[in-house]
Amino acid sequence: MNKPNLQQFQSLMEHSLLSDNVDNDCHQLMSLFAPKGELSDAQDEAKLRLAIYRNNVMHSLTTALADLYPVIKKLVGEACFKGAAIEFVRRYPPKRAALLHYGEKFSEFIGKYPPCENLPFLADIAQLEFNYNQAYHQADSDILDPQQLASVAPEQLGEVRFTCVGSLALLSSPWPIDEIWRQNQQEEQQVINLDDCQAANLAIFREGYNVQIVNLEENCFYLLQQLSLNKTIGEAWQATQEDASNAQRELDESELGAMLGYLFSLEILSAFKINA
Amino acid sequence: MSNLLSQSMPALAGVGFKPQHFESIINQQTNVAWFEIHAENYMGKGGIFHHHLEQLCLNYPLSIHGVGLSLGSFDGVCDRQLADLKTLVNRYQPALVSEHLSWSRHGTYSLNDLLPMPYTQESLKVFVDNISHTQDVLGRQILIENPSSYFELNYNEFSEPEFLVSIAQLSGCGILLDVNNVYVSAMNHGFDAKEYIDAVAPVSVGEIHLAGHSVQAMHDKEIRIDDHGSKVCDAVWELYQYTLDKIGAKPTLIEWDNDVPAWQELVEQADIANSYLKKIDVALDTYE
Repeated sequence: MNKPNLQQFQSLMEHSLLSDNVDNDCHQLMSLFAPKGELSDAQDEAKLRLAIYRNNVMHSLTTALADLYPVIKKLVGEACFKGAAIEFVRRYPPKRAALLHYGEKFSEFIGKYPPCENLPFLADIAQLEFNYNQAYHQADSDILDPQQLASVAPEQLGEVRFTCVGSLALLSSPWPIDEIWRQNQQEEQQVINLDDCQAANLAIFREGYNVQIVNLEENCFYLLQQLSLNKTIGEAWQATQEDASNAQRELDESELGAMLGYLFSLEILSAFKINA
Repeated sequence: MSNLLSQSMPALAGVGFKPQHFESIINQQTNVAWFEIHAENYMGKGGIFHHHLEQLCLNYPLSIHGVGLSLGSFDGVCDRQLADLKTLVNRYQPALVSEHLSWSRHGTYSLNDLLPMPYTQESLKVFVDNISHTQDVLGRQILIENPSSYFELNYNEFSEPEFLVSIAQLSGCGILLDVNNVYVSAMNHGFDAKEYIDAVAPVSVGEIHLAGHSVQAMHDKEIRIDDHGSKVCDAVWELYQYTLDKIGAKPTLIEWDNDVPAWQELVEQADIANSYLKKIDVALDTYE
């Protein structure tokens, strides 16, 4: 190959690092390596030199994924995870240098990864792990002291809007993903019967420096979802009552106070304002 | 370019900060004089990583070492990546900011490795432009580290030290001289490590790196891999002594990023570096 310009070289090298086999482009790149020592081994040696970079890139990115998705790795086993991670890296290389943001598409990918088809909850577990990692590094937030609401006239309480803590993510799943996640933090796991299990309606957020995963009662989850969309307490409660009625869930008028009290106790709300 | 240091970095040994060492560092007296972090690990907005860093900065000077800016990319540095680095630099006001003589991003994707540059006139211009832009945006000088490499290109127009010295002259950046990388590349490519050190102007060096590397068999030869996973080897200590004799005492970092040892073992490596540094009477040239 003639001397490439910088763009051509970087394009050729990127391809050579991510391709699943040593193809013609890799050979073109290797033809640009200065030979060292005996010419007779030049080709073999060039392959080994390229292999160092191919291994470094793949090893560092698959290791980063394993650090981001430890429960998925435990559930599918090391060998299966490695295979999935390699395929994922080739299909979705990171777009940002800071790898704490890497793997946003891993949930979707692992949900469709053929060797894991018999584990239908895997995509939701991966989403939980992604949300967990994001919460871990999210900006610190103030916590709303419920005493501050005492300044609000009772007739205005329905007009209050909340800001949730920045780390909050809401995730629901038909599978008991919080229980599966928790069991896999332990050395030994108990059997979870998937045919007789509770759906998960999770609030994932950081309390201090620790990430909390809380499974909320369905009405409370719906209420929090509405509040996190910047609706007033009045609007959010009305929507929750409608949804409960449509889905035939029991919900008594008197439960609002207890639900808000519970959300305050979780330290999930950061600030409030009225009529804005 | 003026150097807006809010802290000054002593010509003593520092180590790469690892979260698992935090309690030991905070609770014990140590001769480790300063800490370095990889910028990309702190590009989240909050949480315990930043809590650690805030505590550390109360007592120690900090060096922020980027591994993902990709100063060698033909299409310039990524605006978002540079903005994230600027946010971090503004937040912690480190004594030193450094990056690498390498590239990692081509277009959309970031490959998380320090990839080798062709040493040509074209890439020299790209590199100098990207450093100048970075220094303008950050409002301060950065240091550029020489890489370890496992191949050389047959169309290079400069040797690596020629290229490194040229970018420092043309962009006004300083040099982070990684003595282990000089040794690894010298062994892998068959050049003289001491001649490389001799080529670098002492006044341009703002920091030194030391690390362990591994040796792999390659047919009937050996190739050295810069894996930051072990103690500094004797040959690199020897080259370090040679370097200090040439350029004077400089802030020296012990890097140990894989198979991270217990705090005490890392301190022992820093103590060895300090014993070399203290034998050098004075800094030959103050870094400016």
